Amino acid sequence: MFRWPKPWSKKRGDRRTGSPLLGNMGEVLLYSALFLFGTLSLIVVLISSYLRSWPASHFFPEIYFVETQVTVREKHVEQEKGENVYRAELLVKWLEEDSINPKRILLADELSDREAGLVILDRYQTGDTYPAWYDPSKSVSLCMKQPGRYLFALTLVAVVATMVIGGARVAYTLMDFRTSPERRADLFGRVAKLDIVREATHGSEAFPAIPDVEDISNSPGVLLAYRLPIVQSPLLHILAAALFCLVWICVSAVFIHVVVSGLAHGNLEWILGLITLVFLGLGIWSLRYFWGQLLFAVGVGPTNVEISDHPLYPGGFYKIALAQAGRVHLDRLQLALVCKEEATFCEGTEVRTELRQVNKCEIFTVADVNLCAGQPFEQTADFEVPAEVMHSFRSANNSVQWKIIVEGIMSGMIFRRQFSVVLYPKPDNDRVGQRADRSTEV
Amino acid sequence: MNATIRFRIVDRQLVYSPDERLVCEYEVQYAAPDDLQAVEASVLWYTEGKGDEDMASHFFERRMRENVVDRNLCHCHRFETLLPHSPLSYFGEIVRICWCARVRVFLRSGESFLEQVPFQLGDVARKRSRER
Repeated sequence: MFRWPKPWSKKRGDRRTGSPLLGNMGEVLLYSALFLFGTLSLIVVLISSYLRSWPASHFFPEIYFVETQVTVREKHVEQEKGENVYRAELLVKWLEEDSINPKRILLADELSDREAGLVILDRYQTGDTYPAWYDPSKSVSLCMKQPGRYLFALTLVAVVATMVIGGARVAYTLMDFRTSPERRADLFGRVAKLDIVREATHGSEAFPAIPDVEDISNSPGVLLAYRLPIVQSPLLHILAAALFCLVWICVSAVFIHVVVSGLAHGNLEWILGLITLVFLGLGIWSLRYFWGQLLFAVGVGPTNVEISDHPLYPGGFYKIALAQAGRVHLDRLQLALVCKEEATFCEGTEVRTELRQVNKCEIFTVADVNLCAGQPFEQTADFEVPAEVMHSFRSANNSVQWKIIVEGIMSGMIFRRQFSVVLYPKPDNDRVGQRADRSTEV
Repeated sequence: MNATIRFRIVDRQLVYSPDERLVCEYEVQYAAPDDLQAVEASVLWYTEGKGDEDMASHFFERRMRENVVDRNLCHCHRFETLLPHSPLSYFGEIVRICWCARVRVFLRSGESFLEQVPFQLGDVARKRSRER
């Protein structure tokens, strides 16, 4: 059956629908239109401003203004006939084309009282000379304030930006159209090797696509070589919980007010009442969650994790030290080395991220930990990184992350603190390959 | 009219180690060699799985018709590269990293033909699949 090709594409698993050719053509047409619009607008604006014709003369009259000198002869505030509205005016004389002309200049229109007009006029003294601006082609345009030219400048910037964006995208799409993905990847790799962009990309030259270790190994420890930085501060959790709780309780309060008012007037709406109960339940849950997070923040103090060496290697033995401060009783405290895979993908117009734990090596678990003020829980342990595991990996949409996770349980609630580590591939890899029986020929 | 690409990894192994030399050889068979515009050979990794595809090129070589002897891209050509330390081939649950050597032939008409040979870098992938 014949199907119209679609210019947009959709990815499901390995399958991708749509026509990239049509998509590229659409993109070229769109950006060509943008480029043409920008170019034509720029030409029209520049030529019309040079010729003093429409649209520049209408939209940007201020660009033709020149400075002159005027002498104030009279100043007065006039009341509009039959209305309680005042106008502040100056009567000036100025030299125009070798002749001295009198001219009336309106300084302010529609003032509500006479005093305001007098305040404006106080800036000028009769007989003194002041700078003024006018358009030589229109003597009626004389004004005492220099007209701003920002509108003309902004228009030029917008028009040039439209032209540049449109032109650059057309050039990029046309170039991209005849460029293979391998060549693009090669160009991107070359750019990533430049010093100025290296910080923004992943991996060093020796270990491409492996996260940098410098951020993790730059803090010395007290007991062991390195103190690991925490991945996310617990303060952010508390702030998020507080915000959610606040918003939800406010919404619930509005619902309760409406329902109670209805009840007071003998007009109870059952459906609204049920919805209010649901909102109230969620509000109470969010309050409890926020309270739990607050208790953790107050009761469970800072967590310090130190490690004997970094980066880690598969099959390597390391020492780790945990110091957990606080003033609570923990039912259980666990330290583990965990590996998670993270994948970011587009689903429709949304960008989603999926995280999956694929490996967990328990380092130690302690039951019934009493944390007292000034006496943090401290424990040092040895652990081995499994020999046959994947190293840390990070690219734009996919990653393999290794973390030390401290997990505690307090009255049935769990708190978790994560510390990133980087796992390098096994050093001095022996030749792991075996000779294949046949060579591959395609 | 299709171009045929005879492409192979010389002395191919099941698994390659970092720093090992990868040698590839290809030959393009096409009835009208003058219509060939360019041939690109690359060694690269790409991701598969749940996330959007990422790709990075470790080795890339583009041969244009104007720059080769006899102006003929059909001759057998060999290229080689030292494999990097990372990323190693990996078959995880939602992230997979695949290595391959690839040859892409471009015709003057704009058409292109592709041939690739996958290979495994490092032994992580093999061990994980054995665990399963």
